Amino acid sequence: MSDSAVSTKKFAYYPGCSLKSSAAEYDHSTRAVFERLGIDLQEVPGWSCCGASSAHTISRDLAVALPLRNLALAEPAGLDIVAPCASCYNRLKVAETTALEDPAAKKFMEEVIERPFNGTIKTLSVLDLLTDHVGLDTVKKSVSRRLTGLKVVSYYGCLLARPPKKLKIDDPDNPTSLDDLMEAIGAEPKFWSYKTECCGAGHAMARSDIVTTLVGKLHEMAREAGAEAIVVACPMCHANVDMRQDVPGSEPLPVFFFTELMALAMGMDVARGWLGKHLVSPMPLLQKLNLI
Amino acid sequence: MSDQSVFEAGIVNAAADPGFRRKLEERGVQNLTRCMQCMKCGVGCPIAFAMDYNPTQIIRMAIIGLKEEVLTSHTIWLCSACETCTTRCPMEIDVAGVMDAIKEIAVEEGYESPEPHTKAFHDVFMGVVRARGRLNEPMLFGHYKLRTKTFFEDLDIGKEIMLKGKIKYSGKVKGNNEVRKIIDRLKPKK
Repeated sequence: MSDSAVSTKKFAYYPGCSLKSSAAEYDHSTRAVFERLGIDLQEVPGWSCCGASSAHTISRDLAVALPLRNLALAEPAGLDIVAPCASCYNRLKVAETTALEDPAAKKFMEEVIERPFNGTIKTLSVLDLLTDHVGLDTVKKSVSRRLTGLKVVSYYGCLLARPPKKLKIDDPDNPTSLDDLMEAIGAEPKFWSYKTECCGAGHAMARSDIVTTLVGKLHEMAREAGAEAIVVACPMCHANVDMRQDVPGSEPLPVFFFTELMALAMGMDVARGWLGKHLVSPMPLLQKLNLI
Repeated sequence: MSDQSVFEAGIVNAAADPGFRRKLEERGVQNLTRCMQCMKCGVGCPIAFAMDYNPTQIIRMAIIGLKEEVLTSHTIWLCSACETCTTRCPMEIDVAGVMDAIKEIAVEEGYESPEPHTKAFHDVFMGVVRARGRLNEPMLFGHYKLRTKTFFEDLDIGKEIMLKGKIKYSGKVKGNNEVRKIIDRLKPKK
């Protein structure tokens, strides 16, 4: 952790479209947790959609231009930009890397979005922000109710891990930041080999059969690992893994955004309201473990 | 690899169009002919079970110019862009990027998608973003259902989503005309 990182307490915040609707609880819990940790998140004024899982199916250039517009909007404030949604994070980071590494692409994109982007701000995921700028020790100190007995598997999904060269992460097959975080708040992360498997993403509506198959595998593996819940860092993963679990002969598993569990560990009562939005209620599990 | 050696590799198809490979290269696809058919992408693809050709096959078919088969394949529309293939390719081929490049050509040349609902989803998604600047989930779901006439799919999940108040309608974004301009400039020219 560099000194400059410690002294910077303000970050630009890009919630993304899902966090304004189906994943509102991810937005609310992220804001609440960082407020408690003394980090000021400033929403990027006038932000627009990053293109998510659809723009690249129409045009690969569009999948860079749409997120780059948001980086260009955020840059004048001079703050690194945090995107909780894994898909937004992925798109913003790929656009940032493309602009930095490919001068011809940068020039073309700036002309398309009619704004300059000088590459002076960095895109961070919420996990990056926690591990690199807040630190797990600070997180540990903020915990007032350790989540003892909560056995979870950390599900990173595709978009936090791949493509590793553009996202600049070291281990795309076995990331550990979310597991370390779960340990820091007293939960019990179980090892499994499905950390970065695909949930089917944007196929949820058009080919729900594919999503059901992939999500079924995830749930099977999570149970085999001994988990009673799945923890995610992506609204699309949450929607699919929570809504599309159809595993005959077994009780459904609750699926948490990791920030909800952090809020719970910090003793925030508002967490109860967010959890009520999930299709599979986590209440019975949390009550059984005396955590709510 | 010369076109001659492709044919010497044992795959001969009278309808093959070796120019297809060059078309992909013109669109920025790099290293395509480095493929040595190691199968890492085909084996690692989580969605291969639902595809007509696995990604390794698509790459080979693209190289030797089986244009019609590639452009009309389900595979290019079922790829979820998880990028497992791109990450694992030992020859640094951006396999997921190749899928997108092939889709661009398919749309531009007027090929019908064999996965019409998937195509409809993405079209509706970008249509909403074009109109509003951001995605608006109630509009996405509504327009998708109207376009695909799949009113009776997912009724149970839909009901729960409504009861829990999970999706919200939001207003237009300031600057949505800028977003519209960007999309209009970059979308494929049919």
